[in-house]
Amino acid sequence: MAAERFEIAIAGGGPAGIACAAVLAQAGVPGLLIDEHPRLGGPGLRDAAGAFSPFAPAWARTVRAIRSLKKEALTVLPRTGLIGIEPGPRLLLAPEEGGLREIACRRLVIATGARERFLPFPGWTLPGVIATGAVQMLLKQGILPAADFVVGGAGPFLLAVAADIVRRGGRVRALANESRLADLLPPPGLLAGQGVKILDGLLRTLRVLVSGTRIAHGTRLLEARGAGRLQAVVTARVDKSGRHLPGTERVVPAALLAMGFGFTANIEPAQLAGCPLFFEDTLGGWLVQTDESLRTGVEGIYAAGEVTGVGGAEKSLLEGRLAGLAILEEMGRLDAAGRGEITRLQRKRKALLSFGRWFNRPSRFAAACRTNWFASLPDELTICRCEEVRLRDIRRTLAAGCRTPAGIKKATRCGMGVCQGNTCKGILQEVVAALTGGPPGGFPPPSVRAPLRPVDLGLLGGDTV
Amino acid sequence: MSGRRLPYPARGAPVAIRLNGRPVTAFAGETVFAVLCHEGVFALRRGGPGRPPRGALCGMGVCQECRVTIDGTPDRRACMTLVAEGMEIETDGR
Repeated sequence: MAAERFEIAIAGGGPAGIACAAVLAQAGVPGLLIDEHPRLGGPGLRDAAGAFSPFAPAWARTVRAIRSLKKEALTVLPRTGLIGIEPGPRLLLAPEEGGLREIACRRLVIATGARERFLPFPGWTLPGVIATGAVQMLLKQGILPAADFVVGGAGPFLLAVAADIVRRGGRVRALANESRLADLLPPPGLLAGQGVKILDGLLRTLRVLVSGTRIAHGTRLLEARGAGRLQAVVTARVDKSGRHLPGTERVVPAALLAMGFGFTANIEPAQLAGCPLFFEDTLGGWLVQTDESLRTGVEGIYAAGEVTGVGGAEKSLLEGRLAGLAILEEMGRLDAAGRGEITRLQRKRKALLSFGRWFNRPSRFAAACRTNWFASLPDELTICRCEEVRLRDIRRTLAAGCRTPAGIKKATRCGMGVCQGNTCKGILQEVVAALTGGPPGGFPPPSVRAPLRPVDLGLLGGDTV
Repeated sequence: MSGRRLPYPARGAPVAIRLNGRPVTAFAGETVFAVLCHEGVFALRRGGPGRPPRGALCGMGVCQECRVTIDGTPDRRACMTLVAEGMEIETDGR
């Protein structure tokens, strides 16, 4: 298969990828932007017309910038999965309509975003238990998927989603946040720099409170119940050591449970490309290491957005622009004003990283707390949804002396199913850390291989290659 | 039907599709996942011991739990596919 050539390829059409593409295309550098979804924007900013975000104006500016571009400067490939990266860099793409494409580029920007982080609880596999982000995306498309919700999990995002549900006419029967109120309050240092977002948070809190929703902190999703689909959610108070307090259980009827425990970065493409990683729990876990100009440890490969630290759309828009300007500087195509902007963006990036650390911290729990929590989970709990691996299987393998996530994966197939471990590999790391008393970042992330997404085997071995 | 459509400025033109053989009106620009939620179809496939129903989880292309059959092709992600005129969607979770 002959490779198509591009000066720059950008993997991911969310805020970071788009902002980067806009800078490069305006400078006349021919680039390629790929995204899995039919529409650009990423889960956070797609359907901007229905968005309630304070960043929507910034987003709208970016979209206008893209639309005003000369077509020859930017090629957009939506509905296209990135399934492999080889040295060069060379990309292997799997378009949704079939076939394979190979791309050779001089520089690659990895802007593959973040996904929601889930922790398991009895009943989390019931239809009707869906991600907070999925509910928000439905609301932005103008669809209220049910009348009665419970919102639960951990972190500040729960409140944002509850407010969006209430705003669009849904009832939130309970908001159960494992995080404690004291951990959710922003530090004074953030109030100055991130005032708009904090104010937005306060207005959302007010909206949820006025609707009559019970907001419970230090409260766990104990169980999702229902015959064939969700009918009720059981919540319970937890103490500071992560033990649930008997007698505090409440059964809340609901048609949908919007559930999430913060976010984690989609590092897999960067991992496959050999980019060095680092672990910082309060920035989302395993992340791609970069310098201040967002260069990774691999020549010609940059990383921008959530993959360098989970911090939200504003950080991603900034980093996309920063990566684009840094590339132009390397190419010798940046004037003094552009170099000045790089310095300003690098400074502002630090403030946005601080916001990210506050945003992620409440959904990350102390080791002792997690140990008590996970020790209380029942044996029959499903950990790997694809391969149906139960907590029992993991406990048995641990007891047999296999003490690492990589070993348990091989012994139980946990994380070897069709989602390629992208749902449960983080869970497995946390469960093993909690049950063996180790830190969550004490194990390396599981290795990844191409294809990064499931593809028809005939494609890889067949005549099309 | 358990969901409802809200006032939405960017809603596309009506699109006639079939969901498990039943005619359904969707709107251009909506994902198959959004239409399934609007129609109250949350159980999308069966998995695990005893084959209990499973539904979409992440809504962003990662978890693979929303795989349905679209126009005869199995294992298409409902969250990553937009509706199109005449589309036929089959779920396996009933």
